[in-house]
Amino acid sequence: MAVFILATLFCINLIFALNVKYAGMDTKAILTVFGNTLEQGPDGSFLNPEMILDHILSAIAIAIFFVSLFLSLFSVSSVYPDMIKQGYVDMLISKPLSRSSVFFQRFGGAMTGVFINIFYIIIFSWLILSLKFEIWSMSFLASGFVILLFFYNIFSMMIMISMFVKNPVVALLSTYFLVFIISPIIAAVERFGGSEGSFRSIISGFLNGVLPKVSDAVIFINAFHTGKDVSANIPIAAFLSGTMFLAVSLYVFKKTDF
Amino acid sequence: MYAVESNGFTKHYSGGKIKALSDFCIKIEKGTVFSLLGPNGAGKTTLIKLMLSIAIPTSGEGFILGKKTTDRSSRMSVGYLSENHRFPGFLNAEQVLWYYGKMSGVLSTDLKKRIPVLLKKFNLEEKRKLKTVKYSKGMLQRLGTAQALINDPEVIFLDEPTDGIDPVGRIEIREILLELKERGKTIFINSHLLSEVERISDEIAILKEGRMIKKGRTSDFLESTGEYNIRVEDSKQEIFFNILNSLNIKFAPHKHSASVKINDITELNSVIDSLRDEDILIKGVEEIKGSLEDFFIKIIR
Repeated sequence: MAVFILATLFCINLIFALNVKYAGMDTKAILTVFGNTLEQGPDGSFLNPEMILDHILSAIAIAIFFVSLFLSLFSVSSVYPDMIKQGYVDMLISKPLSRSSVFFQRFGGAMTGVFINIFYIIIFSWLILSLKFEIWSMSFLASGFVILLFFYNIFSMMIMISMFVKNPVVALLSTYFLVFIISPIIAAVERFGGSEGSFRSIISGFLNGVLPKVSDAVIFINAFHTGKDVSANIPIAAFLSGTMFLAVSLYVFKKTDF
Repeated sequence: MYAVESNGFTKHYSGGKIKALSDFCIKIEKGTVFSLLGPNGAGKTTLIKLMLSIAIPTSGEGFILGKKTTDRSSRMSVGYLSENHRFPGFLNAEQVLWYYGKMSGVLSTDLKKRIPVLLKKFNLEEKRKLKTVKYSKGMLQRLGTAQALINDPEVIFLDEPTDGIDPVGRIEIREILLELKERGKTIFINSHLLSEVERISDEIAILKEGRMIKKGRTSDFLESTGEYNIRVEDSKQEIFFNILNSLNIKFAPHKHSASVKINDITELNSVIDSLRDEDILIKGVEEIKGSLEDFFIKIIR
């Protein structure tokens, strides 16, 4: 519910904060953001309505990614720790259901909730921007699926942490720490290089390969809107990493004595 | 085919350092009320968890209504009340029963009929719309028991069913269990309330440190104290006590009877003969048995 309220406030804000005026696609556009008028780009060139829209959509998609990721992880953080609490999990498992179905029912429920939240804000802001610009960009709608894919990756990691720590607060904080602090540091270390073959570089390489990378998500979402070339390995890696976390979590859940 | 069967169920934790249950074998006939007794940590809850595949056995196997416990269809006709059960606090009683009923594979049409009946039976009718987060311990216990019956199970596992319930509620639960027993259901109870167990159980087993130390019919656990309560006609009370004194028999006089301590059944018969020789009308002779609690304390210590 809190996510819905925040999403609605964000969209209402968008209605009043952002305005654009232009005569045609090849004409000069004037952008107004929170009352500040912008007539030229940083290089002094005139603003092109289509270009403005691409950049705005990209920025909004990235903002939605971070906000929805942060809030969605918060809202689903207790789903698995609550499920595996004594007195609750045993009642579930005692039913004629397999442990896998109990596990995936929860997963499906959480993902559906987050899907609704993400697409609520995506569709709402897409409608506002499209009506204002009179340009209907379908790539913005598709970015909802990209956000959902990266959420899948991070949520799966949080489930795995929950299976071991059994505490929603610890699981959530550990996830935030790994995704927003450790992962960018590891990515930077990998980018700028280290001593090849050393123990540190092996660990760093492993973590870089396994941990969900928000920087990759930003690159992908941005490229998605601005039409830049981007490697298909980014979403594939996110999917595989998420599936690996999920498989480990399921294995632990199936083998645990409750 | 037995309702519940366990062949050498063993559960060790920490690489065998903690032996929660060792080589537990049991066969429970259909329609039996079976109670498992034992001090805390004896392995009672572990056994139920192994039977329902909530915990994975180190060795051994179990069967419910002839199906292996590892087969999830064995749980189709099972109801279970966990010791410290909890429900999602945002659900009310009706929703809890609906949710758990659906998970048990009960059809919606059946649930619509069963839920009001169970809510009424467990005195939760008035609070059916109240969220369970606001329920007292006793109400949660009643709801938990109702939940265990939502699929009209053939075998019911109840872990401390009367825990936290007031005496009146306890009597109500006991009556429900007796009614289920009459309907031929098999009931497996873990309880600390020995007086309750004594009243409703057909069979009892005692666990200590993961091992079964005694099993038998409930009557086997109610030991003879070697005392009999003899009731005679009121007008002959005085003569009755004099005869007992003359026979040198220890007794405790009561208003209309006396508790007589005898060595064997022959001595009891000679007392009866002496009383009849004096034309005393005997209204009743009852063996005084020790309680299950007495037996339990003796065997556990």
